[in-house]
Amino acid sequence: MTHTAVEKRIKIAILCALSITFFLLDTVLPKPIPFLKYGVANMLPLVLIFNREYKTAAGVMLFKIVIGNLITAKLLSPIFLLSLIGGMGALTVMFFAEILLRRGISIYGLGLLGAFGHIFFQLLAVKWLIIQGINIYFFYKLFFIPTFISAIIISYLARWLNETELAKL
Amino acid sequence: MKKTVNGQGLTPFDLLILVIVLVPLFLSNGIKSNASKVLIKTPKWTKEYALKSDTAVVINSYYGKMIVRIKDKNVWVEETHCPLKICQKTGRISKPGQNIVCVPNRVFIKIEGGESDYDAYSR
Repeated sequence: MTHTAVEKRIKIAILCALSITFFLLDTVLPKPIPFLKYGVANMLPLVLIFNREYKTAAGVMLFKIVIGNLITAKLLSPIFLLSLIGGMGALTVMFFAEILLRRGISIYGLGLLGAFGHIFFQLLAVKWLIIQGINIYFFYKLFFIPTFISAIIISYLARWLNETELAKL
Repeated sequence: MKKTVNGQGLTPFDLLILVIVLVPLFLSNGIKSNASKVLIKTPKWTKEYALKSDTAVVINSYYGKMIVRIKDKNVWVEETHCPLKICQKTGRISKPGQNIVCVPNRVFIKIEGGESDYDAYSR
C-alpha cells in the first residue's frame, strides 16, 4: 500500500470516529423538542461535500447512521429508516447543489439545504411508510424555526472545523 | 483536507436558498372552514365522527389505552401511554386539515371539512 493510500485510510478512520462521537453527543444533548436532534453529526458530511469529497461524505454519513443506530440499539427500527432516508436525501440535495452551483454557494447555504432537505425527506418517509394522511405542511411549519437555528449553528461550526482542525488532515 | 477560499460569507445563491425554504411557510391548503368530521385511523380500524359531537373515543393502542376527546368542536388526546406523549402535547385541533399524530401507537387523527376550491394558496 502506498503512503498516500495509508494516509487516506487514516483520514477516513478519523472522520468515521469523529462522526460517531458527534452522533452520540447529539443523543445526550438536552432537547427543547423531544424527538428533534441538533444534527451535530452532520457537520462532517457538510464539510466533506463543501470540499467536494463526495464519496468520503457518503461513506461517513452511512457509517454514522448505521453504527450510530447500532450503538444506540435503534438499528432496523423505524427511527433508523427515517435517519437513513433523511441523511441520504440531505446528502443528495447538497451534492447536486454543490455540483450545479460550484463556488456560488457558501457553507451556510449548503448547510441550510442539508438541514431542510433532511427534514423534508424524513416527513416524506413518514407520509409514505408510516402514516399516510399526515399533513407535511403543518409539520414543516412546526419544525421550521428549530431546523433553521440548528442549520446556522452547525454551518458555523462546520466552517470553523474546515478552516482549523480538519485542514490539518 | 483542502482549505477553501470561497464561501466565507453569504452569496446570492444562499439568499435564493433562504427564499426557497421560506416559501412553504406561506402556503396552505385552501380548505373552507366548514369542518364537520373527525377521522381517526388506527392500525385496526378507521372511523369518522362528527366534530360537533361530544364523545370520548377509547383506542386499544400499542402502548395501552388511548383516549381521544371530541368536545365543543375541538379534538385532543386526553390520555396516552406512549413514551414521549407528543400527541397529547400537540394540544387541541379544530380546523380542517389539522391533525394529531401518534407515531408509536400508529394513530392518526384529522379534521376534515368541505371541498376545497384551490389546491393551495399563499397568504
